[in-house]
Formats: sequence, C-alpha cells, structure tokens
Amino acid sequence: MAFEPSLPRGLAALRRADLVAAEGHITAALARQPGDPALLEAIGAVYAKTDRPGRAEAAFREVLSRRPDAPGSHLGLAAVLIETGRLEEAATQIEAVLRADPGNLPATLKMAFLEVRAGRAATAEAGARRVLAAQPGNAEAQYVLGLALQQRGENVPAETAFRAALAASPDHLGALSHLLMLAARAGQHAEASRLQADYHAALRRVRVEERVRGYRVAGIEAFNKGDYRAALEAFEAIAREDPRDPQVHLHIGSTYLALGDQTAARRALETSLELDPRGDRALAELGRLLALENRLEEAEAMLRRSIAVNPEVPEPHYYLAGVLMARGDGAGFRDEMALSEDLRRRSAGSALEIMPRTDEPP
Amino acid sequence: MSATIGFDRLLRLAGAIGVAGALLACGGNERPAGAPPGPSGGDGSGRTAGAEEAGWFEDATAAAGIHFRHVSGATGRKYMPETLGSGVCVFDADGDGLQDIYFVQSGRLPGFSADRPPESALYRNLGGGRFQDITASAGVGGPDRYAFGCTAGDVDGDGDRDLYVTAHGANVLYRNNGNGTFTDVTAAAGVGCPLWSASAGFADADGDGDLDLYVANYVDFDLADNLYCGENRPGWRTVCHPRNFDALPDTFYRNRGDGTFEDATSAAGMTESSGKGLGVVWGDVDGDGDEDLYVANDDTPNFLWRNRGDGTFEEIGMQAGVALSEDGVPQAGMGTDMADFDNDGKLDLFVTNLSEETNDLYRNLGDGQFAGQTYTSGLGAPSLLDLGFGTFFFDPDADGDLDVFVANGHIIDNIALYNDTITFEQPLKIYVNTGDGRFRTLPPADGGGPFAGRYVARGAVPFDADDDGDLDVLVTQNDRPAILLRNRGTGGRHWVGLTLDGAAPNRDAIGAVVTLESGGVRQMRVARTASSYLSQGERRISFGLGDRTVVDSLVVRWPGRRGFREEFSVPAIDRYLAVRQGEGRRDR
Repeated sequence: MAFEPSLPRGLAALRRADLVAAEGHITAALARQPGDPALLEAIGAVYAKTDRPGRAEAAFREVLSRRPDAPGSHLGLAAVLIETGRLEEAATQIEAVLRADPGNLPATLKMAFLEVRAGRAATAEAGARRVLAAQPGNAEAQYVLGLALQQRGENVPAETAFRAALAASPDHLGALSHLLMLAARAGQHAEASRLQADYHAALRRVRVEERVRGYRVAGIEAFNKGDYRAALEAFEAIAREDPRDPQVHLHIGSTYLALGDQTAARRALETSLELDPRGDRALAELGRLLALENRLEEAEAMLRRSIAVNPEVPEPHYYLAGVLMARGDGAGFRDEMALSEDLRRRSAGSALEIMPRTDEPP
Repeated sequence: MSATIGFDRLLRLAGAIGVAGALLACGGNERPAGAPPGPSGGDGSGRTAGAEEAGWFEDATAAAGIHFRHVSGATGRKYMPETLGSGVCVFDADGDGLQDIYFVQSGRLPGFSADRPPESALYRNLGGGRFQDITASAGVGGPDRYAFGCTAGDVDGDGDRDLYVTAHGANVLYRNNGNGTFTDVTAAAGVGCPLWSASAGFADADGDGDLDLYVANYVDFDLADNLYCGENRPGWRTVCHPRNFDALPDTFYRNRGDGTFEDATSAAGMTESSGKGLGVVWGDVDGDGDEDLYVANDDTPNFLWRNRGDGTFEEIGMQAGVALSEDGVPQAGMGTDMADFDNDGKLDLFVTNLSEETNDLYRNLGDGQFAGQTYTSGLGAPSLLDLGFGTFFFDPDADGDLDVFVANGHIIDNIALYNDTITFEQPLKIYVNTGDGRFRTLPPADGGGPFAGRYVARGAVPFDADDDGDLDVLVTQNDRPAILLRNRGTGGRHWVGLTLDGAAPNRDAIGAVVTLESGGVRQMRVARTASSYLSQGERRISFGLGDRTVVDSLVVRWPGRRGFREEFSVPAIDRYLAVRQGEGRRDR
C-alpha cells in the first residue's frame, strides 16, 4: 500500500491511532528527507506505540543528537527508558526538559513518579503537589502523592490522596488497591472488604474482553453450529458492552451475511472499518458481500484492499479468485487460488474460523 | 506493516474461542531419543560457545552426568501447555543421605512424533557431584504423561520421601518403596487430580503431624479445542494469553494419616477459585505457628491463604498487599519464594512475572501485612524485559543475607516478530542483596560463563550438588537441556548446613523454623517442600556466616500442633550437621 510522504498526514493518522498509515506517511517522508528531526520524532512515537522500543530509542536519540533541546524526543526517550527498566536514565531525560521548561506539568508528573519509584518520597510529593496546584483533578498526580505519603508512613493523608484519585478516575486500580491495604492495616476490615469488592468491579470494567468472553464463546459456537440468530444475540451483547470493538462488528457482519441480510451486514462491516480502517478481515468480508451482490468490480477492489493490508491471509485470495473467475480472468483465478492454497498450507490454523470454510470458490 | 501486539492485540486477534468448559473440581541421557533440537540450533543448552569459564558459577551439567532434555512436543500448533514446562525436584529418593534429582518431562502433543515416549528422569546422587540416571529401575518415568511439576515428601510416615507429579491430565503419586523404587499409588491415595495442575506442595496444614497437599491448577485448556492467537500470517501464530481461558480451582488434599487423602478444599475453606495457579510456597507468614500458603496466579490476583490454626484457611492476599503489582494490577505470577531477606525474623515474598511487568517483592511488616518493595529494592526495573519463572532466595556467597536467583525465558518463541527488544531466550539473573533492603543485578561477567548465555528457563532450585557447602543451582528449560550451575565457592566465607530430623511421621520436619544468630546477625530459614516454579529444592538448610566462625545460638521451632522450640549448640562450622528433635535444650 503506497502512502503519501507527509508529516501532517502522518501526525493526523497518529492522533487517530491509525499507526499503519502514520508509519507509512512518515517513512515515505523520511525517505525524501532523511534525518529530519520532526519526522524522526514522529516515527519514534510510532515505534514506541507499536512495541518497537529499540527502534524508538534510536529515533529519539538521533533527534537529540541533532537538536539536543527537543522536548518531545526527551520525553519520548524517557518513556522508552522507563518501559525497558532504565529509570535513572529516564530521569536524566526528563530533567533536561524541566531545565528548559520548569513549568512542564507532564514532565513534572513523570519525574515525581520516578522519584517515588526510587523511594525519594519528599521530592515525589513536591512534584505531585506542583502538578496538583495547576490541575487539582489530575488523578495520576493524586495517586503519586498518595504513594509518596504512604512511603513516608503518612497513611491518613495518603488515604485522602488516593480517594481524590479515585474521585477523578473511579476505576483507578492502583488507588483502590492502596486504599484497601490501608484499610486492612488500620484494622477496618469491613471497609477493606468493601474496597476489595469495588476493586474487582473496577477490574471487570477495565478488562472488557474478559467480561464479554462468555458471549464471544457462545456466539462463535452458535455460528459454527449454524444457529445464526443465537450468534447474533451473543455478538450484539458484546457490542453493547464494548461498542468500540471492531472485531465484534465484523462478527455481526459475518453473521448477517450468513442470514442473508446484506444491508445489516454492510452496516456492521462499515462500523468495524470505521473503528479499524485497516481491518483486513472486515475488508475481505465486505468484498465477499459485494461479490454476492454481483458488484464484481467493487468486490475486486475491496478484496485487493484487504490483501494490501495483510497479503498473508488465505481467505481474501480465495474470494478474489472467485471474483476473477466470474469476471473471466482465468489466469488471475489460478494465481489467487495458488496463493490461497499456499497460505493455507503454511498457516498453522487460522484466525478466520468465523468465516465459513468451503472447498469451492465463492 | 504493524507490529502492534501487546496483550490486547493478541486477545482481539483470537478469531475463535474454544468451548468454555464448566468449572471442574478434583474428586477423589538424552532422553528421549528423537527429541527435536532447540529452535536456535546448536545444542540448545544456552551455553555460549567459547565463553571463558570464569566467575562465580560454571556449567557442570555434563561433568555431573546429567543429560536430561525437556521435550515440549511443540509442532507449531501453539498448544498452550507446550511452553510452560517443566519443573525439577531435589530430594533423597533412595535414603542414602544424598540429594537426588527428579526432572519432570512433558512430552507428546497432537502432531508430534517421537521414537519413544518421552519420560521424566530420576538421577541418583553418586556423591562428589556425580549423578546417574536410574529412572528405569526406580519406575518414575511416567511415559506419555504430559507432566509439569513435582513435590516430594513422606506422605505415609514410613521414613522415605514419596513423589507427587502434576500434569495436564491426571496427576500421579509415587510411593517410595524404601529401596530406590517407587509404586504408583495415585488411585489408592486419592490424589489423581485430572485438571491441568502446575505446582504442588506438601505441608502439615492442620498440625496433625502428617503432610497434606495443595495443588495449584491452571486454566481449562482443551487440546481438542486449540484457539488461534496472534497475527493471521504464516509464522506469526502464538500461544494464547491465559485470559482466553477459565481459571481452574485449586485442590487441597488432607492426609488421613495413612498416606491416603481426602479432597478437603471446601472443608478447609479454600474455595476461592478465580486464580490461574502456577507457583506455590508454604510458610508461616504471620508467625503464629501454623503453615500459611502463597499461590502465584497468572493474570489473576495472587492468593495468600492464612491458616486459622484449625485446619481452615482464609484468603487475604489483597488485604495483605501481596496479590497485585505495586500499582494494583494483577500480574502474571509464575514462580514464587518466601524467605526472610532482610533478617528481621519475618518471611517476605517474591514473585516472578511476565516481561513488561516487574517481578514483585513484598516485605513482611508483621501482623499479616506486607509492603510492596519492588522498585525501591532495586528488583523491579531490571526485570521489566525478563519473563521470570523459577526463583528462589539463597546465599551462594555465604555472606549471611539472601540473594535472589531468577530463571528467565519467554513463552512466545516468535516474540521477536512482535517486539524488537524482548527476546525468547533470556539471561539467568542473580540479584545480590546489598544488606540495606536493596539488591543489585550481578553483572553477567561476575556470574561466570553460564550467565553469558541465554535460556528458555523454567524451573530452578538451589542445591549443593557436590556437598561442598556452597549452593549450586539447577535450572530446567523448555524444550532444551537442563543445566547444573556449580558454585565455584564462597570466597573463604564460612557456613553451616543443617539436616533436620523431626519426629514421625513428619521426619523431615517440614514447617520447622530455624533461627541462627552469629555476631549479632540473626537469620531465619524454613524447612519446606515446593517453591520456585513447578519445583522443589533440597531439604537441607544452609546458613552463610561470612567471616564469623562462631554460632552464638541456633533455635529450632519444630512443626506441628504441639510444636516447641529447642536450642542447639553448634560445635563446628563449615559442615553439615544433623539436628534431631528432642535432643536440644527446650526453650521456654
């Protein structure tokens, strides 16, 4: 898939969490302007968000070698260093930001967090209080303040800070866990038990996937048995709990397709793609839907989009083979079938079991 | 391309989820031939070719005559069990006073072929750091059992140690016949838990003198219903996160006194079943004279079962502050140990966790309360890239405080596709106690040749394999050879080792607490069975004395409901001494 070389487009994609597009635009731009600090900082941010801390670190360090005062790269590098366990080095990066900009609140909070990790409670407390003076509702600052106070044995004000964190962020697991420990230490066992129940409720809210797993199991089981109405019921229950899960909308789309309701299928698949514009499985299903509607040109385009995102999934190649055959492209049909069969052979299982597998082209 | 993975990605890419089973409950050498080489090629030992042998430890595996190699049965289908085994137990199997080694074998999974069924292995200690494979004659190979962990103890009070082996499938109890052979008595003993069991540990939980058994069960994974996880591309499939599966309830078996057991899980109040149990360790964390239990759970809050003293327990992990990370998140508890690392007379806890999580240290404050000391101790940040399994406190330099060993190795063999920094094979780590409540990471060069290597380590236990007084280390790997790290010595520091002889039926005095004072330093050790990950270390108790040559006092609190304290004199140091119940001065 070709991306326009453009930092603004890359940053826009980064903001909407479309990391593939962000990387595509920024990498293309870097090819034209290698060493550009703004592009390097942006690509560092993409790497940091895509489990590539090694490459992120290299990008941020390259920026800093060219522009030693770049606050974004200092903070980005600090985040990578924290993630990889080098807390003292991270503190050095944050100090560089604070030297240039003593009022930088995110840096102040990050430094307070590192201070409490190091057991330097007094400086952690001071940092947290500086942030709170400007942002009294900052849950993380309240939490860091609570940790610092607890570290100093000041359990009553620590409790106040944790409760403030919780007021600002009701599912704050850290604040809840420390509050319940403080209650237990104070011998307030009923309160500790109540907080423990609150903790488990919060954990359940935070771990949406765990909460809806039963529905997902039931839905897929029903789908595989051909009970599409029951499958739909289960998937829609997930969608109510977790409306921003692109996978469930994909599953709903597949189920409507199985039920023959192409309008509802299209709606669900488009929702899935709004949430994850590069959802290769949703693109493939939409391609299949278009093929079923005999809109072969559009179907082919959609399936090719799916393949461009992830060329190593057998199903879109399989569907595309069918479309090409219907369009009279025998050579294309054979090529796509060969690709599909090769991928199936090399794949130990498939994540697409929700899609019906047939031995005949669609 | 996107390398975004992390847990959520793995989970969301799970396209189909297996049928969730109902919650279950328990009632009632180069071995083997045909084992595949490790993925990285070479001999899979983790040893670095040409690495200079210097430093604290050296690889003594071959010299010791140990040739055990774990077989995972992996074929690329990424069955969850294939990445989690296995453990090792050190115990005197033949009654000759020397500590033998039992390596637990996993084995065949669907699609895997081997010339003959992989077997667990029992190695007899010949003395002088040499071992001999006696599996066949001992009858403990257990072929075609996909086993994970082990624990050993004298369950029938006949003076020898019996062996319990956990598995994905029915567990097995081998009764020691007293002549170096064993008999499978699982059915008669009633301990054949059919669930996927991980660690198990014996202890006298109800104070009646005999050894009861706790079995930590993991998740409801069915081989016939293998969920796909990971990116949908050839070569990118991974084992699944445990969050895709239901937790299995753990099982507590009460010994009837004759080596048979009853499932007393409910009667003992151990009914909290949300944990995905992997590691267990027994110990008296609140100092009230009975055995409490800590369970490291994967992705779910860890358990601390407080013994009420009447044979029943209450789960207090969250309120005690030992269930979660310092920031209140359930982590992927794997291995665990319990010891007094700061010499304050109270048992502290350590748990190993997944990469991108810290290992956790919980300092015992007394009264059943703990404080998280993970980061301030220096154990947190250095563990963020490691996936820790086997772990233990030990004093390999005999300086009188306890250091920490962690055996690391990732569970996802293709993790490099998903992360450019976390590796599948990982280094072994020693964290040296600096005496002020903090630890420093031992540089690999100081650790010796084996610490320059990378491993897929799982079980790990301390063990004086050559009886020279310093603690060696046994490590198992997943789908690779086990390794024995020989301690090159304590640098002239002194030590004393103790073998506790308790009263029948608990002759190994499991649960005894030993306090030694020398030069104003008071150290505490506990006689116990299982700890670490799927494993059990040797029963001898070891104290480092540093440059001190006199032991000022040695007090043993013997186990059991009528447990009492005795003081013993230590006539000599730098040797192992037998300490017999009833032969000391009764301490009031």
